[in-house]
Amino acid sequence: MNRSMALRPSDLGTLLVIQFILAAVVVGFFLFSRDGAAAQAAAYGGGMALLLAWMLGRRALRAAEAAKTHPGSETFVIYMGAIQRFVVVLVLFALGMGWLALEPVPLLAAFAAAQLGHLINSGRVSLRAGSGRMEKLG
Amino acid sequence: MNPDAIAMLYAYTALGVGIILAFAGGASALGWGLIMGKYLEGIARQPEMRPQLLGQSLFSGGLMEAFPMIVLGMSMWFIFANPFIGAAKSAVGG
Repeated sequence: MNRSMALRPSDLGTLLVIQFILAAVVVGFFLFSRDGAAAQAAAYGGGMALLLAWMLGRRALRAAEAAKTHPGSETFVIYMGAIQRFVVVLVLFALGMGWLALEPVPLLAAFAAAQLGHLINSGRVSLRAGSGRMEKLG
Repeated sequence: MNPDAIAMLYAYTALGVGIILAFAGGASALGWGLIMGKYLEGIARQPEMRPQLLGQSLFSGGLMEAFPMIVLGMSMWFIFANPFIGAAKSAVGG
């Protein structure tokens, strides 16, 4: 069976590294173009994106485990994860902009840039799946 | 700026945020529904592909979810650091 498309724990690690690099670029940009406060807000936004990616990956691995042991229960795990992330992102944004009074624009910019990591990772996984299919076909 | 105008700005912003949140939540739910629907279709066609399809669908889900979350962040910006108040104040000169 073609295993190239299977979910690996290293996929989560790669996603986190990609997101960290993207967030670090935005933090650096705000640090040099603006000030420390803007960079701090950008770091908060990047950290939020990393936390959400980690939560997604953890749920993904748990769902993959559930698919093996109790087939059919993985959709429940995924839906619960989606609700959990939605609530966490609301609370963290409220905490960052409301309570900590961080600058919204750098926070959102770093968050959005780090989320681009999903796009890059998705392309990488698709490429790997494509090459796996090519190997299988010979 | 008089208090009525500020109250009106906050009211319209709250209305806008409500609409934004409704669209973000609805679009996220629609996206997850489509992804999971295709995932189940894939399993029905090839049950042995379940773990592989799960990995692909989850990473696609992460990508899809990024957009509603950014929109969610923008709505929180409008709630906690309303940019329209400052813009209106500077437009009318305090």
